[in-house]
Amino acid sequence: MRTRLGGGSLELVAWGFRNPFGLAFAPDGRLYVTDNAYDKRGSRPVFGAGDQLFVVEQGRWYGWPDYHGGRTVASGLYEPPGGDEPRRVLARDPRPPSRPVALFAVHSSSNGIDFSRSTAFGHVGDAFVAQFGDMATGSGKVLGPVGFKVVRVDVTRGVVHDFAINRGRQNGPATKVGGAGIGRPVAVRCDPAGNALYVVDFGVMTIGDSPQPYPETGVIWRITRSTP
Amino acid sequence: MKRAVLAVAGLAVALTACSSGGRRGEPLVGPLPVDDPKVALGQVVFNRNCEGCHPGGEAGLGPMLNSFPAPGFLIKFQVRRGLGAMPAFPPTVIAGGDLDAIVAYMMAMRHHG
Repeated sequence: MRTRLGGGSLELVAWGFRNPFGLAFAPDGRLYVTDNAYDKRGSRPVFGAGDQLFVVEQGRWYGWPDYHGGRTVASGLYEPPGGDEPRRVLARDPRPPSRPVALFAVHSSSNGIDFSRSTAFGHVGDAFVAQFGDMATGSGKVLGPVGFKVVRVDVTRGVVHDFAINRGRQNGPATKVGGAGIGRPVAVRCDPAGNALYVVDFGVMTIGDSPQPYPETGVIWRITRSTP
Repeated sequence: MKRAVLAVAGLAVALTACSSGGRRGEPLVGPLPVDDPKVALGQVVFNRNCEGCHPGGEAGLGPMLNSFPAPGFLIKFQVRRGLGAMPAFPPTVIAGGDLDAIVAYMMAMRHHG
């Protein structure tokens, strides 16, 4: 939605997102949004649908509740193991769905986003996205921890690269892989001066019967370019 | 034929089970060279179709692929037929040339770093 800074009525810009989280303008003026995708739970579980990155365009429809990645959820690609193929909900599509610029990992919770505009920092025009990390097993089982990092997206090719991660035999939050590193990144912001990327890290939150956040574990990371 | 399919599927499961290690993130091993156009195409097609369950070729919803020691023909077989929770990707979803490129990319990732 859009409204004037001074207040006024709301105007529809685009629709058909499932759970849009982060918004940011790229250096070329285009608006991008991260969207948390379907889960394998609820009355119509959808399996294997990764979070998405879209360019927001006026009047476009982005596919929820019947599409993912520009494909219908009834395409044979999203059937839960041992379950039924997801049924389509809408009687007809309001218009052709827009395809994502990039797909993120299933359950990564790809949230805050910003773009580099600095040659000093590097990767000009690429998006940086904070991945809060999975909430397994509440949101579904995984074979390895998903998210818990900051990724860089080449939006021209739709390719996702690891940018800030923890070392270790497997990916995961510091509480799992050891050390005192990244927990659950939720927001990113590039320094206007172009020297650093700031990352808001929610800290420690375990998932048992219910999410359990741990007080005073959140931090803000400052990432700068190392001297060659 | 059915027995052959089961044997190949069983081999794929066994190879997956014995896979280990294989992290290939840029902060750990540097960027993957994509000078080869086939590898570059494979990287794009992989990100469009495989990244969701195998982020960066690592484990996620699905198993680690970077240390998956299967030959190319077996990778293509599994993509076309599916296996366990993994759906089958028909040529209407991943064209033959794109599947070849995915294999080229996976092989490059396997030997990177």
